[in-house]
Amino acid sequence: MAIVENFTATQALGFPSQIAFTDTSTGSDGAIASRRIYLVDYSGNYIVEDGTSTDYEVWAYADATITLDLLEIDMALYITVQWLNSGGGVLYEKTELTLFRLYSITYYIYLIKTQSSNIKLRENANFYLNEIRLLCSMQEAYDAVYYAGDIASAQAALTRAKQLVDNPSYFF
Amino acid sequence: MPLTVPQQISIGALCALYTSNELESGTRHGGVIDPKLPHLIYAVNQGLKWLYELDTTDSDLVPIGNYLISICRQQFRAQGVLALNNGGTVAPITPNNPPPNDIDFIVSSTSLIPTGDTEIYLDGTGGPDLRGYDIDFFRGSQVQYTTPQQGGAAYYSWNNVTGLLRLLPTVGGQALVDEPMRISPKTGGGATVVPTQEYPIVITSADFEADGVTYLNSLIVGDQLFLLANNVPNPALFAPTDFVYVSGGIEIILSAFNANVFDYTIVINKIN
Repeated sequence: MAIVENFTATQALGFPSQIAFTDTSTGSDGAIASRRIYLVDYSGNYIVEDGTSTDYEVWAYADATITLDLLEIDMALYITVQWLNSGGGVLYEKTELTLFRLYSITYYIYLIKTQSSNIKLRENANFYLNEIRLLCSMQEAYDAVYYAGDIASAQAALTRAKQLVDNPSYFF
Repeated sequence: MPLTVPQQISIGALCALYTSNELESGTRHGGVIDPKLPHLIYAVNQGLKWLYELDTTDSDLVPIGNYLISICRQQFRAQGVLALNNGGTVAPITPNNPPPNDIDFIVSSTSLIPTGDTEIYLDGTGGPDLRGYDIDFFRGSQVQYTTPQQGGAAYYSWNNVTGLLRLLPTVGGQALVDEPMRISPKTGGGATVVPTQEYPIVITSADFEADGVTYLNSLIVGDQLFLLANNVPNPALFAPTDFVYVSGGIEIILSAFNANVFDYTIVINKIN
């Protein structure tokens, strides 16, 4: 019997460097022995954990979920999960373009919280303008991925957001 | 009761829109709204939304949510719209089967509603079963109403759970011999239709029964009332000193009160 292959890749508040993968496939296939995860950025680089020597991460088939520490910055990534047989042959494969922007979101929420306890910030044109720029950059990244499937534009938007996040004394 | 975070998010979304509209209008007329405000509401709302998506128990949800509501100029308008459109869960509607055909008859001693009767159960007991349907009811080709019209009384009541069709008023509303009647089942049944009376009601002498002191309206039964009347010594009438509750309505017990002789205008108000 075959499976309908599927997976999710999510982040949790407080852990922006980590991605949790969950196998949400349906059906069963006794020939499946293991899984691999490939993550590719906008310029074709493979993203793996420190210490991993291959282009991929191994995801044991017995584990429904796996959490990997992969991200130093927000990224748009092509994620490919392969379901393999015991000989390493690919039985199933699924690729998704996915956006990870928890670094930016976390900082944005911090800005909003700061603003909520210091309403005068609202009158600070510099703060306000750059807060909106950050919001727009994050939204542009989302739109690039989910409306256009454009990984390069998404990463460019995330880079604009990062510039704001990395220079708070200048922008906020 | 404090607003939930999802409610705050919904209110924020609408307030950004309404404030933009208001700003546009105000700008044309020299308004003084902060032009950044719609974007600010949107920005704060988006932060609240992301935080809630990531962690529904995060302690920062409260200060951010409160801040959002504090800058929502049109919070109550948004709440009102949400209450109307999305205030609760709407149960899925199961399509009804086509309603039964109209039931036409001429009142006689053997008709569906016999001569002189004022009610019938259309529950399948010796007749059609219209429970679960709404109906239109016609007498002599005239549509009948379940709510009082122009200060008059309701003409019938219909309970689509029990199937009880009642002709109103109970005194004077009886089926008349040779009277054409039509009961027209409609789709959209399934909900209990409970006619309600809106107050105040303004009645005149013409609305009283033949005895000149009794006013019948099944929709006021059970309500605690007080009346304001003209042409009486004290215009404020209270039960049980000035009027009493009788089956199907009220009876004025003031001495010399007689709607057959005097012209009264009475405002009926509800206390409870």
